[in-house]
Amino acid sequence: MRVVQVAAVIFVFWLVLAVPLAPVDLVWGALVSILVGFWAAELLWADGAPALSLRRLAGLVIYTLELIRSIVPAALQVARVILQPTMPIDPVVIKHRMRLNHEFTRVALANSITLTPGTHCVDSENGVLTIHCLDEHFANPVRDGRLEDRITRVLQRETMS
Amino acid sequence: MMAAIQATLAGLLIVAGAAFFFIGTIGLLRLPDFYTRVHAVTKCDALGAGLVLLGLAILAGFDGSGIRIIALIALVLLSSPTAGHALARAAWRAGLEPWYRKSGHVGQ
Repeated sequence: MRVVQVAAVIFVFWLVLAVPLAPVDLVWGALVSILVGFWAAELLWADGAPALSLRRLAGLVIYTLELIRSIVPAALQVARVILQPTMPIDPVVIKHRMRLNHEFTRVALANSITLTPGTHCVDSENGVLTIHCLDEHFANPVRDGRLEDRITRVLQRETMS
Repeated sequence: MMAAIQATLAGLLIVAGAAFFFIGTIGLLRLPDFYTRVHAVTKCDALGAGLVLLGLAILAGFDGSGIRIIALIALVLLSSPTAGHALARAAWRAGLEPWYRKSGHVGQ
């Protein structure tokens, strides 16, 4: 059942990319979706498919937009570091215990951290993130919980219930 | 007139995207260790790919293929940090030590 659900999502995404096409292609697309679905069901949705409500979908869209907004300053900042002859970096590795307690929101947080200026998620274990920072002060939005608050606001509401 | 504006805007976006790819590559060469390089590549390449694709979407017009390209942008932005994370995690678990400024062994 899980395989069918995963395959359906993959198939729909592929359709968006591949339309218009011949009937033969549809059959091939469906076959490949099922094959990938078999492999992905174990990895992606090990605890069963997430319930897709309209609110969660809206949250996902808002989250993606915030991600897009945060990547511009992040890329500019790393570009500035790279282009300076002295390369002003002093990397540190920090640990951060997450307050978020769902896989889904934890993944979102890790992605946000990676696309925030100067921080890159390295590892996640038992609710503790290992984060590589280009410089000590880049860790601040993570340490003071600003990023986590933002994700809670956008995504957590109904994952709590 | 409309076509000229469209082409100019698309051209600017694509050039800006290429510039970010270029800077990311310079970073790959200049930065001292694996972890700092992953920073450069995930951020610059994700934004670079996003800008180039956005330029192409504008060129294609916001009908069929334009919308498809927008879907690709979302996919790139979601998968790029994930790929960067997978790389960094593999290095971390393999025991690769990050470069620190204090420890003395400064890059090249």
